[in-house]
Amino acid sequence: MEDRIEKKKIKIKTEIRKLDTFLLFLNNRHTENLNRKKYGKRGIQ
Amino acid sequence: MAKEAFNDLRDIPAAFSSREGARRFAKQRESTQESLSGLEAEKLRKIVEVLKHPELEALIDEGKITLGIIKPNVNQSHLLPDNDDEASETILREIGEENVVFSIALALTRDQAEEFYAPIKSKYESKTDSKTGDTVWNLIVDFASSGPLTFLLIHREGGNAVDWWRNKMGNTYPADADKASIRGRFATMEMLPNNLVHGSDSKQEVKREIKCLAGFLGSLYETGDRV
Repeated sequence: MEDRIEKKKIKIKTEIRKLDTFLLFLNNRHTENLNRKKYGKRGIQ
Repeated sequence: MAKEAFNDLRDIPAAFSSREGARRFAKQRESTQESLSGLEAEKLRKIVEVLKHPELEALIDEGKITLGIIKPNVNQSHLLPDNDDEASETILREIGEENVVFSIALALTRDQAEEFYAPIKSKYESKTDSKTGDTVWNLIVDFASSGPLTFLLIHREGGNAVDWWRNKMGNTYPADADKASIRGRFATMEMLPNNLVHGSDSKQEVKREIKCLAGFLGSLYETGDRV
């Protein structure tokens, strides 16, 4: 039982890391797009 | 205004009035975060953050995102494991972990199922099922709320996510589905309306369905219910 819960925790932690990576990707894209709008086509140099 | 702020301060828990109390609070918070329900709550919070992220819409417009569902009771298929969780995991492996940003299981209420399938209501509410005599719309909504579904956010870096997922699912009717597709491999005509998986059929539908899902999950998160 204990072992099953630990396995489940590891699985959810992996899923959270994946979500963090995707959120970072979304945030970076968002910042780039905002910079492009603010500073022109090439963004910040 | 200052008086209100003072009253707010008076409501701060006593734990913060001593260092020992703060230490105890931090320890308790740490153990909650490490608990299974704490981790599930964190996962749920991040999923809602992804679904409401302003950049997600741009990715949908570029064709890189779609929404998929593994329908309830997929263990009805004799070609999948008897255990519903294992059967759902088998389908998830077929889709490929690299294509899925997250998966989350959720049991819909009948009202939520009606909201989710609203665009096809007019098409099916006048059609009658010959076996049961009920409308096809009722069968669809009853089935969608008959057990937990697994929602999947699918990301295809190369684009065409909607078509990619619809090809991977196969034809709505298992008999007409490509033998390499999920429905072609695991679904049978006798199982209908359970054809195992669902996929948005256009970018507009992806946006609408994602908004529905964000609403369902957001209300769980706000009320503190666990998924």
